[in-house]
Amino acid sequence: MNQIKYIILSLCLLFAVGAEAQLAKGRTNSTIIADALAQLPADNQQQYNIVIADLVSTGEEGLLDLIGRMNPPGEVSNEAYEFAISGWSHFVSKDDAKRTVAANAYEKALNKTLDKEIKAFIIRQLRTVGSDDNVEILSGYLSDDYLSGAASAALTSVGTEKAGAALLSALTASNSEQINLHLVNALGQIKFNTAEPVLLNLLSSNPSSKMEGVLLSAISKIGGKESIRPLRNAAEKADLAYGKNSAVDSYIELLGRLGSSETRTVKREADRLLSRAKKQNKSELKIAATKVLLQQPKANASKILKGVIKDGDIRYLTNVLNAFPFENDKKSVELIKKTISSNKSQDVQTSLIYWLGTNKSTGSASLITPYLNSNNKMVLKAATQSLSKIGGEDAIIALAGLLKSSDDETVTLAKNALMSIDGDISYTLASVFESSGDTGKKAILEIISSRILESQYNLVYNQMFSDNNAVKAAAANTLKYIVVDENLNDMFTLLEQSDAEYVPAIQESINAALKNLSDEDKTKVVSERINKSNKKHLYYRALAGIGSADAIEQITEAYNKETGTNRDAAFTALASVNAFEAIYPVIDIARSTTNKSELEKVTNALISIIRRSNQTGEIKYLYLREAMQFAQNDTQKSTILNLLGNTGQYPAMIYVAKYMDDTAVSEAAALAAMNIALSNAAFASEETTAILNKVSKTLTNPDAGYQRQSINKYLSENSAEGGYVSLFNGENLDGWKGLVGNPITRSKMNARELATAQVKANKQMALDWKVEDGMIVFDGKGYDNLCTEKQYGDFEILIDWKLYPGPEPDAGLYLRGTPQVQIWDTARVDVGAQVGSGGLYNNQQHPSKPLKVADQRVGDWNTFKIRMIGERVTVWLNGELVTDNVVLENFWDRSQPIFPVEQIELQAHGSKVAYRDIYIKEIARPEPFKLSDEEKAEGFRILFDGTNLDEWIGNKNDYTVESGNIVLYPPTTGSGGNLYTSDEFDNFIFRFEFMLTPGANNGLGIRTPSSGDAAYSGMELQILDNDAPIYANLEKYQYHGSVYGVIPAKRGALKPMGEWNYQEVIADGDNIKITLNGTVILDGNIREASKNGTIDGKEHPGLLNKTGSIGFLGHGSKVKFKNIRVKEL
Amino acid sequence: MTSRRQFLKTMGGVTLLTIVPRNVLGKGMIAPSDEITKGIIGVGGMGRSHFPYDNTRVAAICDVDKNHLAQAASMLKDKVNEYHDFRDLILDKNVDIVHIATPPHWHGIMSVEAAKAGKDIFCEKPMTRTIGEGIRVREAIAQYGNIFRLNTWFRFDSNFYGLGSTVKPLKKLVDSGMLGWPLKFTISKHTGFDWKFYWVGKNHLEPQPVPSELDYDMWLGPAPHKPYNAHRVHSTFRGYWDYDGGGLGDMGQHYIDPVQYLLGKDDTAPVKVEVDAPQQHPDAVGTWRSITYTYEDGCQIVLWGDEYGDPNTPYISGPNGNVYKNFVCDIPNWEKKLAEFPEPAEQNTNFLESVRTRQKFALNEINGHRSCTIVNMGLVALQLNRTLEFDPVNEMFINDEEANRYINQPMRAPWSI
Repeated sequence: MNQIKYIILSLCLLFAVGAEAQLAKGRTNSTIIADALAQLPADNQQQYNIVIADLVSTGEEGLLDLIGRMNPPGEVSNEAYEFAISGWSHFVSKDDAKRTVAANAYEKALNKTLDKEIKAFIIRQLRTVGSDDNVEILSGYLSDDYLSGAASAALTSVGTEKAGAALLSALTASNSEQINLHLVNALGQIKFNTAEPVLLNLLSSNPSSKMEGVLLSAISKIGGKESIRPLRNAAEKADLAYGKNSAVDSYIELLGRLGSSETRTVKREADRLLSRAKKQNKSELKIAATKVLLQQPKANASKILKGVIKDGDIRYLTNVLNAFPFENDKKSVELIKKTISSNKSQDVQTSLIYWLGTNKSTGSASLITPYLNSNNKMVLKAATQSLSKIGGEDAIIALAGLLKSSDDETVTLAKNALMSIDGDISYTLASVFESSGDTGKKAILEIISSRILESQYNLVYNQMFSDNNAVKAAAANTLKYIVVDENLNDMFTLLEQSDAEYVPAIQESINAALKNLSDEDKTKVVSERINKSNKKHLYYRALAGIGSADAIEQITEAYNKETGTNRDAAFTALASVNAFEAIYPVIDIARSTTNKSELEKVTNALISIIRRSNQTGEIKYLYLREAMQFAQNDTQKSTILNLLGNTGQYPAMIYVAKYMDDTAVSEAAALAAMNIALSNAAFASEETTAILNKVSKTLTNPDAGYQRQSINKYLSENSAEGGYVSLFNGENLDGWKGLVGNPITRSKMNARELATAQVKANKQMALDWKVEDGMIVFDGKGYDNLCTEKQYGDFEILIDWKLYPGPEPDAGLYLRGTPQVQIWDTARVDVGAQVGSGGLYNNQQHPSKPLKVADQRVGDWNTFKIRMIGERVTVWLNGELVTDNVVLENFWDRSQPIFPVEQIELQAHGSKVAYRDIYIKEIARPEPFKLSDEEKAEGFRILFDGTNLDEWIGNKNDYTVESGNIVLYPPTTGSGGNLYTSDEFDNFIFRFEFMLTPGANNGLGIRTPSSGDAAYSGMELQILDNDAPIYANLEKYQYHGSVYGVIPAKRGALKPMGEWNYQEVIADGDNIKITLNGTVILDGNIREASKNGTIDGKEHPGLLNKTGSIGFLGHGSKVKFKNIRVKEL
Repeated sequence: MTSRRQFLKTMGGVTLLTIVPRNVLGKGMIAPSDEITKGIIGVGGMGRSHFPYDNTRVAAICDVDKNHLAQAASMLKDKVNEYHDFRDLILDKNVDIVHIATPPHWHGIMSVEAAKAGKDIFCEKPMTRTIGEGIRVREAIAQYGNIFRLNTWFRFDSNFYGLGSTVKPLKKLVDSGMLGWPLKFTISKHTGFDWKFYWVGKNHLEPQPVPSELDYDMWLGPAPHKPYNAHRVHSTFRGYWDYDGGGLGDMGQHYIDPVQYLLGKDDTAPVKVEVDAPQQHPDAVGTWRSITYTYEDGCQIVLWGDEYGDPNTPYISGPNGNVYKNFVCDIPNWEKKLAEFPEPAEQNTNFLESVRTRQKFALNEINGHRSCTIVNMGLVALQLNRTLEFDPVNEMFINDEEANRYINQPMRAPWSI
């Protein structure tokens, strides 16, 4: 209820705001409608509420206008109008006054000549807002072939007496069967009882079978006593068989409806039906008739139930028992309990046993228990399941007794029941163990595992010394569920003494027992044991289970040192380590061998480690790609392709696509490529299009048709334009060139000098940089970077890189010709490399270190995703964010910002490094803001066009350029600085746009020096979210737009949060005038206002400055500005 | 599981189940000696995947698209009866179980008709397109005593999406009370569930000629008549309110049904649904940011669309602990503690056995209707774009007549349910 009040309240508020906005802006209805249509469909609830409230404020005139704009079907889309109108209907449906306005407008519209489709649309609106008042006009369409359907549906929604009367009178007048179908259906749905005689009359006048069906079902909903006979006749005509015309179920529904008012008649009918049903052996009819009988107010439930039981039909009995709550009827419960032992039918017994289990009345367990001896499996199953539900000690004992049975199926049923029964079963289980056969013993062990009955440890442990191998094996498999650390010594002894076949299970139980020890204790316990043992290999799995770096090292060492079985055991252990770090020794083994069977084993191990790991898609991609090189058969290849398909990596898509040419794995490759592409719209590119087209041709699985549809959908929705393009063709260095100087020295060279230097640089490049196996490798001396021929502004680049072991591994990426995103060996602690790669190494003002270490080992591949927009750089290393939107400083001249466009360079730092798979996506920059012709003619000039801060001085660190805006980020310390125009202005018109965040505070300084507190040393015009709750107690002179402390501004003209505000400031001598979003919020004279002291009672020494900068004055909150221009007066 | 042959073998000397010809038993009764047969309505993509379900034989197929029918028939080894009108398939004496694999706007009517004809029913999810149709199906099954199986299975089988495990151990954990109460379930990309927002409709469809192989009028059936466009039918119908509800309609019951089971709320429904979504087009289903359901006791189910929602959010959150994707639980030593509790009760998950013993299948017209109600509550709230309160006893929205109109929606004559 509160919720609803709140909604209504907020709706009222919205209406109020809408009305005010309209008055303030003086918009005409047609402007409001145009504005609203442009915003539909709305992006969110808030916008929807505002837009539709705005629309609703135009009243009947507006709604009629909207309807008048609708086009006949097939010409132009009516989408926006449909949204507007149906939005309107829904919006007002709870508001009586407004709903009537809408309904009246719809009435008026219907009276005009309109296309039929449009009329139907309007009539459908009346389904939402229509009321008794609209019955008349709706009735008018009931005789129209085309509109009668919509009109009768609308009348159904209205649902009043008058609506029913209208439908009925239309029915009396109509001769069209098509129309009558609608009318009869509607009368039934609104349960208009008065129609009964008319419907009965129609039914008796030989209707078509279609009509008959609709009539029967309508009569079943509204009919009274009079209808019983005709409906029975219809049912009998259908030979009491369920069929298309619903005769039988209509008859039954009618009986059910009348069951409490026409008690005697209905009972007679239902009895008769029941006996007919019994004769014809129709279960479903028996059930239905019995249900009618049971639902009668004074039904004798137990007597009826007796009849059902006597019938002996399991289907009949079960469904009656399920459908009716006999548990509340004492006599019936007694009857069921009595019957269960007296009735010989096993069908009946089964049904009743299930009922007892579900209804759990007292004494049920003892009634059911005898049936545990039944030879009939159906009965037995019912008994075990029901006892399990009932629970209790007797049930446990009885079920446990079954475990001694020699029949396997009986034992299984008992086992399932005992697994889920409530209560302590351990003692009872143990007591029957010795007297049970093998199957029973195994079942008991299974229950012990499943319910982790640690108390039965001794029972299980003792079986390990049994001569019965079947039971012994089951016991071995049970140990791991119930051992605790105290049992470790037992387990160690068993491990060394048992036959090989039990070793894996015992090893697992050791791992389970270790689980609750600390990592340190685990290693200690196992190491001590290994040192004493002469069967060391048996303990590798325990080490693997520990999974610590130390444990992995011990196993690796064993693998390298040992031979034969011990070496195999070490390998198996390595592959089973549940820590990603195990991949390093395994991949080292792969790299060092050429033995095919060993490679096959290693590949399986790699696959299983990667599959289990929680690593990022990037890491999985890198290692899967390497694993592919070792794969020995098509199954392994397919598995790797399949896993690559789940990594979500663009390079992985390109990589797997090549395998579509390998017939044996083409399907797996096609599916993998498709999975990657389709789940990422940002991967659309020309290359992706080509791959997907090939996928379409390649796929042959049964779902291929649907997959092809998904591919077409993706391709039609995502433009390939502007996607990733490859910067490296894998074959040669086309598109790359040698390095000449740096961007600044290059800019000072003339074309000839540059060309000569480039030729020389390219020669050096050819010496240092090579293409090998699809990689770009630097293995030269010196520091000559490899540079793209093309220059880039904003972009996203993907690149894989690998350092090689050697002295001082070091490399990096120059963005826009400038060092660098750092790559180095984290082991080089002397130079601080332990912080990891991916930082902006040369930054001095901004962060230069990565957020975390995400490097793989030297000698393994890594992958970067780097995004550079404006002056900011974001770096993901192996899928981890390591540099978060940090400004890249200009290394070549620290006084200027980074170059807007320049080449990308792969850094050479004297050590060997490889790069591969380089993809770049260029990101378009926003169009610079341009003056309108009017402003140009008036003499405005631009201070910020969205691209640079050249006209500004001050804090250019926290004020940054993003997507065409100046964005002030809240600084981590202090209140955020100020940004000033480098020029000074005295009298001017200053225009700009700003967007606030909730509670934001900033200020516009004018005639201010470019330091100090502008509110006093100059003049500050407030910029403030003054509607935020935190500012509830503001002084008037603090409202948005106020000359701070001096002249208050009017409140209420700010746009809603998230929208841009447009403001104009005119400073002309002592007169200041501010217009916000078309409303003048301040118009005053500072000299007048400060004549007798200012209202804040403070000194404002700079108030009457003649001239100064214009500036944004930060107060610690995020604010955006754009389109800034000024005209000097 | 015992096969039918073994079952009969072990029955050996028992005289109870004498072999009776089908016609003696009357319509719908399964002669125990007989192979159980099924008729499949709708043999496009989904229906064909019903061919191999369980150990049953396909006896009849039905489709309103001649091409679908011909293709499907060619995929079957034996000759089967082919129908255009589902009512004929339902009345086919050779059919024991009716499989409904049509778009959801038909599920209610077909289930009720099949129930009346005494057939057992195997119905695709979502169970019905409106809450009212679901109530009607539940009533019909109670009235005619059929066995009904809804075709989603995660509450008893298969790895459950983001959980990376079956639901059973999770049920045990929830029942143990170790997580505390009330619980909040979050179903989002981050917890391992994809809402498939590619099932959105197109806003303005140009009328196209109806292809000759398709009986469009019969395809629409109870749905309002709208000009034909290929995007409305076959594999893209989920994008239109008239037939389904987009990704929520498609995946909702898969994801939500196990939650109902886990919460032990199979006999009730949430009392409130809140949506955060753009206004929906009257015809085409759009996307949404979040849908939140709240039960009377404070338990919640939160759905986040697309990438929305906190990436670190647990799948289940309770006062004493959380369960994250891949069954990561943050209660110390939880596995050991949990073992002290009994296994969750066994569920009847063998449909054919349910058909034989007339015991309800694990996911049936009662709990299936409840979980489908949650899907449908969300769809109504999306279309109205407002918070709705629901009365799970009377199965109506509270003080919101407009919302209640979505519970029972008018059908194009002559169809009714």
